[in-house]
Amino acid sequence: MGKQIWKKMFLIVFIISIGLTMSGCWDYQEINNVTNVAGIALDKGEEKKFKLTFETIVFKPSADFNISVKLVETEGDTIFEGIRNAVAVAGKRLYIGHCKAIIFSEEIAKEGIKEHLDFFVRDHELRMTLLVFVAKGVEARETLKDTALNHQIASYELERLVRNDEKYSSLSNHKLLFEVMREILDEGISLTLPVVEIKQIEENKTFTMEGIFYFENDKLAGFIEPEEIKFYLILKGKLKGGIINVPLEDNPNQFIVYEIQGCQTDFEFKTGNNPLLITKVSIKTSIGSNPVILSRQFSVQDYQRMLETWLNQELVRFFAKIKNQVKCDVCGFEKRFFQKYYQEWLKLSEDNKDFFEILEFQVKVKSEVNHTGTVKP
Amino acid sequence: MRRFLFSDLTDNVNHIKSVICDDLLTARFFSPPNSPKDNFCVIYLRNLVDNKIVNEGIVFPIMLFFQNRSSGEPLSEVLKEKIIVSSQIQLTNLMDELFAGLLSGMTVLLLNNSTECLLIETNLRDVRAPQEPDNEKVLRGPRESFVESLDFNIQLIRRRIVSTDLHLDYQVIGKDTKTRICICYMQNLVSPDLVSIVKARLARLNFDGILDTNIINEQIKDARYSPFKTIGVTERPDVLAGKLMEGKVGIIAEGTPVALSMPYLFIDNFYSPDDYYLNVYFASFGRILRMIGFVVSILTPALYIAISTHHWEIIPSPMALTIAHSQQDIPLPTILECVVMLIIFELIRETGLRTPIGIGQALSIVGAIVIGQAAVQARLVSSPMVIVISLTAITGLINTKLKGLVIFARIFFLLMAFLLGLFGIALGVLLLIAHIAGLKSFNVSYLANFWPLSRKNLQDHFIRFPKQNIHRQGEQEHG
Amino acid sequence: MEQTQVSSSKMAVILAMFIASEFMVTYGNVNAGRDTWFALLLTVLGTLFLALLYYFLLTIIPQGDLFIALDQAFGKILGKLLIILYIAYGLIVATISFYQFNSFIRILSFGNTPYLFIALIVLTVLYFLLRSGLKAIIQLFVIIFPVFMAMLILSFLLLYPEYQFSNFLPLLKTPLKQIVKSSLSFGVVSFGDAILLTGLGVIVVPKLTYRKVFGRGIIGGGLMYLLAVLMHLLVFDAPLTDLLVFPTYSAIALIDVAQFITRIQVLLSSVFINAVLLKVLIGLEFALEGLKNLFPKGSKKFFYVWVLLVILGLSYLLFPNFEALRIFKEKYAWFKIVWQVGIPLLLLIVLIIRKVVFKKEFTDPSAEGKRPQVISR
Repeated sequence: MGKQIWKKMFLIVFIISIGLTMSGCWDYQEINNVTNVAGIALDKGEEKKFKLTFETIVFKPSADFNISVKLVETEGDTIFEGIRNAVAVAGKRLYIGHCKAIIFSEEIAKEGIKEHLDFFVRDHELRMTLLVFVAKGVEARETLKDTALNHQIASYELERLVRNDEKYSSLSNHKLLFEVMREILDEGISLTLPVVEIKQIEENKTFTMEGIFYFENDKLAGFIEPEEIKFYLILKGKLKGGIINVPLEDNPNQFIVYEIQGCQTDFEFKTGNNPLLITKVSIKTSIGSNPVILSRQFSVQDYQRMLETWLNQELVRFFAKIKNQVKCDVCGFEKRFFQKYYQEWLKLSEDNKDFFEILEFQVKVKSEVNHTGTVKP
Repeated sequence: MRRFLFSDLTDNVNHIKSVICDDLLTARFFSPPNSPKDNFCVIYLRNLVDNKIVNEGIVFPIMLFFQNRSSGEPLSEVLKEKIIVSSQIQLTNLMDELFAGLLSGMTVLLLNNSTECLLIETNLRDVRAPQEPDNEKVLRGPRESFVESLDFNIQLIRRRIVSTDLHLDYQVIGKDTKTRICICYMQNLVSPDLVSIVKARLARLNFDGILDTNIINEQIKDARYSPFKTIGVTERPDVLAGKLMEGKVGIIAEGTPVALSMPYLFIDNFYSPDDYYLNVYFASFGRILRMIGFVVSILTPALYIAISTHHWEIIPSPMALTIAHSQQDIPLPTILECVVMLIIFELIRETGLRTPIGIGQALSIVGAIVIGQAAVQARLVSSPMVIVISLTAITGLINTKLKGLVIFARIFFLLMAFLLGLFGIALGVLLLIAHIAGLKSFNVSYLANFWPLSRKNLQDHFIRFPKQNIHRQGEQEHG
Repeated sequence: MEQTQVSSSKMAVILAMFIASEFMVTYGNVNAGRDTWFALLLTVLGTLFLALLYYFLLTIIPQGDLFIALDQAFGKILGKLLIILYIAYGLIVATISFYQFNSFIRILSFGNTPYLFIALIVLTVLYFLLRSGLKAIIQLFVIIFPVFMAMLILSFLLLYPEYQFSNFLPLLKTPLKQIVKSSLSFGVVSFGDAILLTGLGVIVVPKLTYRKVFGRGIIGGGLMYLLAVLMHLLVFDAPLTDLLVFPTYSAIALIDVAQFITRIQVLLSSVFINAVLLKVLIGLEFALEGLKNLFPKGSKKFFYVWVLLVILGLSYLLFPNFEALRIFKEKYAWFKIVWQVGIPLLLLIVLIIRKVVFKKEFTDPSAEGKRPQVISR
């Protein structure tokens, strides 16, 4: 009996010691042995295909919480190679699990971004909810260098900007990584990505996010101005906040400002020779400012009527612009048609007709002014 | 050893003196004046008996008797039934019983020409006054605890349960200590299988010394090697009375204030005596808090290790930066840091447990300043780690009944977290629950009143609802 | 040899978890495109019919032991051969789930850890779980089940902001043949494994009712599976789901409530993945029951170790990489029909023809420890 117990004990101790000495060493990483990456910027490289710039977070060894940002630049023929090569520069492995933003440069976007996104889908460390941008007019890494105004880390500030833009200004439309994938793989919608630019304010420079780039397949094709983004969002059904300046009928230099509280868009198709899209927009607003309130009387119906006429004509104009200039279905009309009228879509594609070219457009705006801020409207 | 008494008085006395080696053994010979042949001897251990009873209750009446004696009746019978003033008198002719009685404070009355002797109860009853037990304090409620004397303890129970259904079975176990134990149960509430199982297991005991009920505990409990308690332990008579009213069986032993109760289920770990003495909401909240505290104290270090070494993506980014910053330049890897801090905490706790009052203050200063402040500032340990360990330690002390289990389970989960991160913790939880689900306490499943979450269980076991009888009759699950 | 008594509601819970177990590790849309959910509904219906077959079997063999029935029905030699085949089937099911469990852990969080290490730890856990007995295992999973369900429903609800309900349209446009084929492959690969529950040697108390155990179990499990499939269809849409390895995991990764409850995918998945462990355990218990039948005098511990080593070896042999698992499942789906439908049907017919009657001992509670006796032919 004693011998058996000794044998058991020995076995247990042996197993435990083997387990402890050889175990857990593979994926056990001390959190301070890797470098956290907050944002990635992709440019065209000089020696190799890509130049990657990582915005890494560095801690100064002191008792106070003191972080600073260092940019790490590497080159590589593929993105993955660039990330791994960064060890040579940064000294530690880069951890991209907390990365919040990827910024492509215009040149790379023009050549096509589908090939790059494959890496981001395969890697499980990267999160699918990070933001994708395209830099306009500058190299992508300029947007990360010394550009943060309120926060030390530019990418975290970009993330905050995105959240607030959706609610307050609607100057652009943010895209998460998986949404980008979805739009590239789907038929019937063209990819759009938000634009980041550099603006100089006295001695500081900072980035702004205004306007979007649209892509044909996955190659950059053009730019849509920030003033038109609201219409784009309305036609996509995703307008959440912002303001609309409606010029007065008799004096186009003066504007009544409507603050958008919510907007709903319904799409209906009428099939036929040319499919007809009937859009019903119902928008809820409140009055922000009216420059001629003291000299004229307005009623709520007046406000609504003015907004509706103006919005109607602007939406028609915008649609014509998309159809004739942009020529890419950025609002995803074809996808909606495909989902609701599958047979007709099949017929059209059999006849080899391009859906977007023959699409007609009609819009009906219904607006609601909830409150005007003063007792007299 | 000789089995029966000698018939000659001096032979008996000499034999006793040769066997018992104790200076305080006193033998007093008496020779009544009228019948010199009927001399008798009173033998007792001087420090164990109440001299007053010996003199007034034994010697004096006998002397008086012999003065007016009429012959004929057998002497021992007459003495036993008519003369001696004492609460208990036993007649025996066995040496073993003589020695047992003599050594426990009885006085032995030996008669000439008789092979029988009288054992007279003269024990000194010195008992400690019952105070509140240290480990089972209540906010409101009775503050009595058991003492070391079995009879006094039984008295405490009898005072609380005045019922003819309260059955007390006395037994003597332990070869050398000859400890008297008492098995108590309510006849109408308890399941008969339970009593027979308890008695059968006690009969298997073959120990020479029972100094405390814990020794009985370990021998008769179900799963010997499991860290879970399957027999309840208490020092409070009200708690034991409550458990008896639930249909459980209690064991009290001479010489220790700790009483056992069986069966003991998982949910019993989270009971506190004042659940019934306090406001309903407060008591329910307390119970839930104890359960949460148990889970937190087991899992917190493991979760911290898993998240900060294997799964960083779970932490929100600002917090990840804070943790990363605080881990800078710490010489030890996180897991070792955790283990070292746990060991240090256990050392402090153990020292504080048995330290005299004067040193306690110095100890707390050392603990707080040295470990908390200086170590963190010298960057030997990181502040999140100190926070995690303090949280673990404090919640671990909520449930005093689970101390041993918590220490063991903590290390187990720490190991699993080190090996496989969060998945390891999930596997560890599976193992723990499977182990609990397979345990039985005296043929009652260990999870009996805990799962399923029926209304009955929720009402009285998880939290306490006001609308039921405090001790429901016989609700203890039978097998 | 003892037999465990299990209440019928517990059995229903175990069946539900068993069937839904694979939702975490299931990949893509299994060839049914946007109509995967419909394929799943068909599968649930199909499995209910299958369960009717198992129910009839179990009413004839009240102790729920498939092996004894095989023995009695087909005679010594053929019976023993079929028992061996069924043991192999149970082991293969256990191996598949074992491999899925380990790969899930390895691919998502522990990329550098060798497979053997994870396998050994899981094997040790399985050994201790087997040792605590079938009753403890059932109790364990009955305890975990509410947590499991609550988390599934919670994650389904929390993902609401990300849902695009139009992802289903066009409705039912994939060719019906494809849907049926995909539903069959679901059915025989995952759901039809319910036959394993008939061979565990448990007595279900009260008497086995079709509605309670099989009906609730299959519908409950199917609904849970459906929720998971809906989750990733609604979020990702069909073409993207095709690309992802563990789409349910990626869908959960998108949960973001008020910026606070975010990134909980590892936490949730560590709860969900335990259902796969249930499948392994049931497969192992099934095999052990069969071995008990073949070698009535063998020692339990020896069998445990042997069976665990066999699934370790099989997982190395059959699945050198994750892709091999997919191919194996597809190829072997059709072969499983023999085990899940063919042989039980045959068994039923033979039992009816031969008019074998088993002594109904389960109504006698004191018979817990006894094996069923055949009293007449």
